Amino acid sequence: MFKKYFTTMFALLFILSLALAACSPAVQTKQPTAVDQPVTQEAPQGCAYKIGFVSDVGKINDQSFNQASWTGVEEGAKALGLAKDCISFIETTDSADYETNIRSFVEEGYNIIITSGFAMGQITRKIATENPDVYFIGVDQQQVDENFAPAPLANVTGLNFHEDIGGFLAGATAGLMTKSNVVGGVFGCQFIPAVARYEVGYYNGVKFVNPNAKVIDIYHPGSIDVCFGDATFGSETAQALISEGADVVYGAGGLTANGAMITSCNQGALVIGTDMDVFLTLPEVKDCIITSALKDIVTGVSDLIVAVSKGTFPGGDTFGPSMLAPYHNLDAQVPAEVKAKLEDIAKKLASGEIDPCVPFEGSNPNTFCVPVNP
Amino acid sequence: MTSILLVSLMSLAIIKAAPLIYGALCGLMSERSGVVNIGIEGMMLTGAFMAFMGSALFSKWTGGVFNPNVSLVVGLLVGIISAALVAGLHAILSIHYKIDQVISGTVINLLAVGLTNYVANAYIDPTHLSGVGVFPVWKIPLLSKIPILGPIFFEHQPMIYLMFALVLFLQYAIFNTPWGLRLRSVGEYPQAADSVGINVIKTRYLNVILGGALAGLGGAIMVLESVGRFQKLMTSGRGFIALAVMIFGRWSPIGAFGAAILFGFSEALGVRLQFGDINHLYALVVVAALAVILTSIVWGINRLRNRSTKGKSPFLIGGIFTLGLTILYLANQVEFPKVSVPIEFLGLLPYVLTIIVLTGLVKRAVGPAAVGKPYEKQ
Repeated sequence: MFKKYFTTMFALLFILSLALAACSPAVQTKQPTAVDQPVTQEAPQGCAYKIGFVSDVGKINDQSFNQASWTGVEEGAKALGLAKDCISFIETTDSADYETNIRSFVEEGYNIIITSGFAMGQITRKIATENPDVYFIGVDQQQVDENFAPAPLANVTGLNFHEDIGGFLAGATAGLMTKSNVVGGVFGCQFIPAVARYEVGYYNGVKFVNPNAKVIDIYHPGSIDVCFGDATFGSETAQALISEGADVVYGAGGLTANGAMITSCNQGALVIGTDMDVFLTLPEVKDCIITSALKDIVTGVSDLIVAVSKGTFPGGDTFGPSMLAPYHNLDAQVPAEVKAKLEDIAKKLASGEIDPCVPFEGSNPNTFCVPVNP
Repeated sequence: MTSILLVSLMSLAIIKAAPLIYGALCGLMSERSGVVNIGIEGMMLTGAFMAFMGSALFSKWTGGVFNPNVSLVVGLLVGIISAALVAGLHAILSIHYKIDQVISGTVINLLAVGLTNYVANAYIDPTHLSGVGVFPVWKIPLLSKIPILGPIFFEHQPMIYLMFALVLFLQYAIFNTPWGLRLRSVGEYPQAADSVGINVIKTRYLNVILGGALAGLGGAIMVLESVGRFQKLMTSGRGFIALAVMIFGRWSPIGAFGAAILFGFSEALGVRLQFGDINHLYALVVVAALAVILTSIVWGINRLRNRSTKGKSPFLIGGIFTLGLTILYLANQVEFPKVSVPIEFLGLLPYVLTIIVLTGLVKRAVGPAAVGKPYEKQ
């Protein structure tokens, strides 16, 4: 009897992995199949460059960084005048498939490969050293070796952002807008440097404008496969934050953060989004979102693609701009002095006068902070 | 301070446990009638998806003339019915065509993931379909005024109360009514049940489909009471945890309730410890002490109920109980060093606690004897 359940549990584990891999990369590739390939190559206009995009676990319309990266690829292709079938994407559904997905583009003869997300950083670098004539763009991937010492490669450019600056601005907004002096934040995985930097920046930003405010930051404790996709966790956490008195909730972590923002909004709190202008992507929160901490991945990716064609591909690390999104529906409710103060802080952050990334008591010691070079 | 903490932890634990309990009830109904159901995840996902589509589209098509709560109720019904239909597919595959029930469940899971992702990509995202909010909190008059217990149990959204009612009702129905006896007999020894005139096939169909409706509730609660919107793969493995909860609770509704609350509590603790206002070591020691005390109490109750020499000796029970109290007392005397437990470990808490309780409390879990075997009339 017991033995049978043992077998069932094994079957379960197997099935769970199956379910997660259900729409696996190889099947979902938009175009590189044996049948399509010759057609593309013999097409009259040809492809000056073939550009492939590998998403992190998630979809290219996740309304977050995968979508931004893919939009950047499309813009870049447009700037180069490439036909639609010169670009394609693979959606990763299981973190175990990173290498297979990237390699399948290399084998199909793609010249520019964009990989999205910190988790693919090391494998991108490994494949890049093996294929020096293919250009790689790694979004959120610092070009470092195992000891986190800078190690640039000529054919890989890491498109990075000072998330701590974006987080600091979001925190300053929260600290200035809170009435209860309690603000919360719901984050994805702690071991993703971009997320950790957002959190540190957010905490410091609140404390900078409002030293007496209480900041409650919650990470999803799960693995990379669930921590950005668990909207229910985000929602439940937001309920806990609000019952603790939080009246501004910051969400940084894909769908997990979306769940937190929708629930906070339903319960009357103000919210702040991340990466993209959440006002435009999440209709449920349009009446309570103050702003979003943006990083301009779209321009960053498309500029780097254009740089390849001009022969100015930099290699190593580049940093894109971080800023706040427009206030949209809440424009009238944000006082003029708050707006002025935020602009002032943004200037000081850009000039390096304020350091947004000072680890605080209880924070993640590995914040991977990068000093700002004015 | 401690009581406020306890209230917020327990109430969060109940909210977190609710989808698991609905899922476990689904598995329980179907396995008690002799059909293995590992398609809970898929049924919950379908329920969540259709609950969102139902409520959002109803509100969109009627132009918002109805109260949002009407749309939510419509969504709830759509979610329940569609999950029941998916369960019907499982029933046809595994009862009529006698396909291996584990495989049939797998088919359900894969199908649900594929279909919901496809429609979400093709319709929800491009049209920016917006949800209509969530059910409001209903405070039960009088009962919610009881100190501590009131806010824990009687300040919730309606589907949580429905969950309480269903657990009690099913516990009574399965173990104390003729209907429940027939259901269990079909799961234990279908040949015998058939020989006394119980329609085995019909009973199995009915209960698998009823179970599907319960899983639909479990999916719908995530959309209609917490997130307010369908997100791809939003069940995140809760259907499988629900299955574990069902086994852990030994195929009884009350057992599943207890197991799910334990799971929800440790998950809530993992969130609450990140608030940064409690000493992590102190909290973990207190939880361990409470677990030890609870274990001794359960042993004690079992011994009293059996009225025999079976069970643990009174000295052991008393000793363990005193040990728990001593730890609790000492924990309040000692100044703990300020150590923050890594977040990944907090994520492990539910599993660690489950293993501790499994080894300490739960007797060997034995399921219905005929589970997984298609019924052949002789």
